[in-house]
Amino acid sequence: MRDSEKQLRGRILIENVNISVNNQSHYLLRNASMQFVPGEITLLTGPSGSGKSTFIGLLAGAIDPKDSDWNVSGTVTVDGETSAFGDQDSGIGGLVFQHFALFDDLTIAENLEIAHDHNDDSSQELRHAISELLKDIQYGGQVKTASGGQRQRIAIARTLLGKHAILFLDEPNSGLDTASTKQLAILLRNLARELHIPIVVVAHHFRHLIDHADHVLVLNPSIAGLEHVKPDLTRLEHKLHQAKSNFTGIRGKTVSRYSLNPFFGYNQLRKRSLGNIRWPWFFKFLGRRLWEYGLSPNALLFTCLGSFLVGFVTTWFVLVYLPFRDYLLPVIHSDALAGLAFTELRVMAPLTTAILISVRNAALISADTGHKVYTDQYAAMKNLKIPQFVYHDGVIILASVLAAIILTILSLLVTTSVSMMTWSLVYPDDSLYLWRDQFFQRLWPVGRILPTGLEWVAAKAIPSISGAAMIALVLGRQRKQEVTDINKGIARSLIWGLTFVLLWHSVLTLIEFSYVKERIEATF
Amino acid sequence: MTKIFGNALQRMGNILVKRENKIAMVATGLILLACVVMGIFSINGFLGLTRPNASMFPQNIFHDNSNNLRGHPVYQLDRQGRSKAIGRIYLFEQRARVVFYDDLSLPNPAHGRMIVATGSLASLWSLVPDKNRSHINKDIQTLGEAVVDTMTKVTTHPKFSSTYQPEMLRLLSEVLNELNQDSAVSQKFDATSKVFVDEYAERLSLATSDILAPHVTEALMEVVTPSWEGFSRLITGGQLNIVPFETISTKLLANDDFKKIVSSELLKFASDNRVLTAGTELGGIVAEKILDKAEFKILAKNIFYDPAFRGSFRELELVAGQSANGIFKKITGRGDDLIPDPLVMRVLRSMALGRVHVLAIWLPNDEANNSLAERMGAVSAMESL
Repeated sequence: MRDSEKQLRGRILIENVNISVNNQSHYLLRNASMQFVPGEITLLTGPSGSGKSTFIGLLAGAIDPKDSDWNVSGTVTVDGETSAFGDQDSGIGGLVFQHFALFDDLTIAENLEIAHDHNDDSSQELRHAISELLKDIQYGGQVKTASGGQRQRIAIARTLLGKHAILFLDEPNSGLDTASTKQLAILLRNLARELHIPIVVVAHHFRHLIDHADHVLVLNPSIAGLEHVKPDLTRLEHKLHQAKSNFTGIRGKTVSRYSLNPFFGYNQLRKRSLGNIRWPWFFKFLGRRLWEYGLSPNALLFTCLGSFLVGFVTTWFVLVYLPFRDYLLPVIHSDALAGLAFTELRVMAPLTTAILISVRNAALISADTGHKVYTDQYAAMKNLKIPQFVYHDGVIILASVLAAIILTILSLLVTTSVSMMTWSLVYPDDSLYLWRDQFFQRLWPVGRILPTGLEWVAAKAIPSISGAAMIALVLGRQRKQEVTDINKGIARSLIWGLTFVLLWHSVLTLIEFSYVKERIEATF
Repeated sequence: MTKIFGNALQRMGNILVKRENKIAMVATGLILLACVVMGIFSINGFLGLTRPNASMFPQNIFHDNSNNLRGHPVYQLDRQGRSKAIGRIYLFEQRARVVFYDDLSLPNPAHGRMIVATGSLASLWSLVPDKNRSHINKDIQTLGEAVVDTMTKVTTHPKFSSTYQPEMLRLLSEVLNELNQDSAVSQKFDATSKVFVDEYAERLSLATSDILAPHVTEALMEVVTPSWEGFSRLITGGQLNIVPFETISTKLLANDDFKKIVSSELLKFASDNRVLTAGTELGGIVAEKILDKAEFKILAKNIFYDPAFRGSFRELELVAGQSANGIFKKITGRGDDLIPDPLVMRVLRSMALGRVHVLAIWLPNDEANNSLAERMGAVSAMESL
């Protein structure tokens, strides 16, 4: 290998970068260039709100310029290969998020496995480094069982498994005491050397990190540029003071969070994310969502109780509270049961199930998605080349559709059973076959494999439940600045989801009735 | 307390929602299994696990209706005549297949007979239990007596004779003349008269002869006892004095024993199916003819609203209302409480909707059922399937 090639290997050149927002009215960076050298640590700092996180988010691919309001240009050269800045598939760097963004619905081991499975095979050095990094951690435990420091190391290990050319850490010492910060700095120094990768640390509190930094970059918003400062505390503080004095924040844009397009990241889909699907993971996520939305005892009890009410109340009301019951009921008994079958199974059971399940699942989806957005788990998945569009969004929709099918069928079965039992209470001496003959005479004629109008039940229940789930997903994926945004997202999901379900059922029921040409008239 | 409650809720939430929980998985399995089993049972019963109890019976009332895959209900009557659906009947040409519901105590097809008939007023009447029939007869008798009483009171009232009788006789005479000219009506009338003359007149005559004879003799004597004036009219004009005979009817209508006998005998005559059919048709024609006449309507209205007869009609209304209600209840109701019977009400419903009702009744071999079986032509099973 020639000397020039050796020098190029692992080196990252970022040149002529422009990052602007609001149609180029405000620049984050203008014509900036920098270089990151393997084995070296760069400290990136700047005033609050200057766009440090956005900058590394763009570099790490956690923010896609096409899914956000940022306009970017420039070039990035990695290992001698040059490409357009902001046009990389998933960015050039692995990002350790400020709050670690560990996937809290997975175990510690699964957090590592998923990163490993969606990237190339890890090297011997990397495996060794990770085992050293996590030597005091129980892999099988839940993320929540780990301490703050352990979580940070798990997050670093997971990011390293992403096989990026560079490692970014966003405010890694924000919650650490002095000793822990110093330990972290040593840990990063060792990793940079052992793995021979450049590490960029974004930090506000750099006092205990600066000693281990090889380079210091200050993002100066007043000049929209990156300034190189020697790793000296006094000079750095002076430079920062200068940068802060003329800065009031970038107007019209919040830059503190990784922005997301709430409409399912179609842009990412275009970028061959489907090609990175690992089917065991897909089915694992699908199974968990399906359990949560349609198979957990709670979901089943919701459906069963709703169906019980429909079956019991409608049947009991007709059979017991009918005016002139003694005279009228023998006359209309057969018609009443045929009509009850239509009302209960074609209208009430699908509607009740849709309302109960869509509200329940909308709350779950919105809360879960909002939490994942707020804690940067979404961005982390993207950074690790995990197709979150498929594993999260796609799986939620698919699980909602499957849950809708399962719970609607369950609802029809329970409503039918309860209706029959209620009838049997009123007519204890009569044969249940009489009930079957009269109840199903119009809805399920003998000889038909399936009841008539099942397509209407499906058309009402499945799209309404999965539509409400989609609404919750879209609202859950909206940017979350504060925890209260998650709560607002849940409330909006419930309101809009329920509105959608009611509208959908009303419109379809009216259309359905116009298609019901045959009278619900008894023949048995 | 709040903490304990919160912990309990959280634990419950973990069991119900969280996936890593064997209890939740078992609960899900049990709920799903229970719902599916219940649902399938409610839709399909025992899923064909039991052997169907079916038999073939002859029938020649209905044509093949084998495209009706659900069939029609088959009923069984209890000792009080109450019906209960016990199976389905499928109609084929000349035969019917009966499948008994297998969740009831299954009847042995060899130990009973099947009635297959069309639901009609006649079949409804046939289904009325004997006890109800006797009560209905009493009601009709009471009603008949009330009608006769009212008519007697009205027609013997001086105002009726002076104001309405001539006009009414004229109108009736017109109607009868018109009907007399209608050959179809004459034939029906003759046929009905023949039934009366052949089978009922003699009985009526014998039953009433003791009461009738003294009045007739008295009238005859009065006619034939010559007075100069009467004799002269008979010789010169060929005219008989029939006034004494006319007064007989008035006297007889005032006789309670006579009214009872006539009502009873006429009731038997009226209950005859042939008479019922012809009578209904004739009655309809006569009523139609009479009602077509505007003069009659005016006359009837005047009689009804005449203050002189108001009291009589009010009494009749009351009795008629009670009787009609009682008769309806006794035809449709069963048991001591006269609870409306499902089968009877279904037949009425079909009649109201203008549909043919397949009346299928299973009668176990029991002496108590013999009269109904005979009345409605019950048949035994051809074979057990």
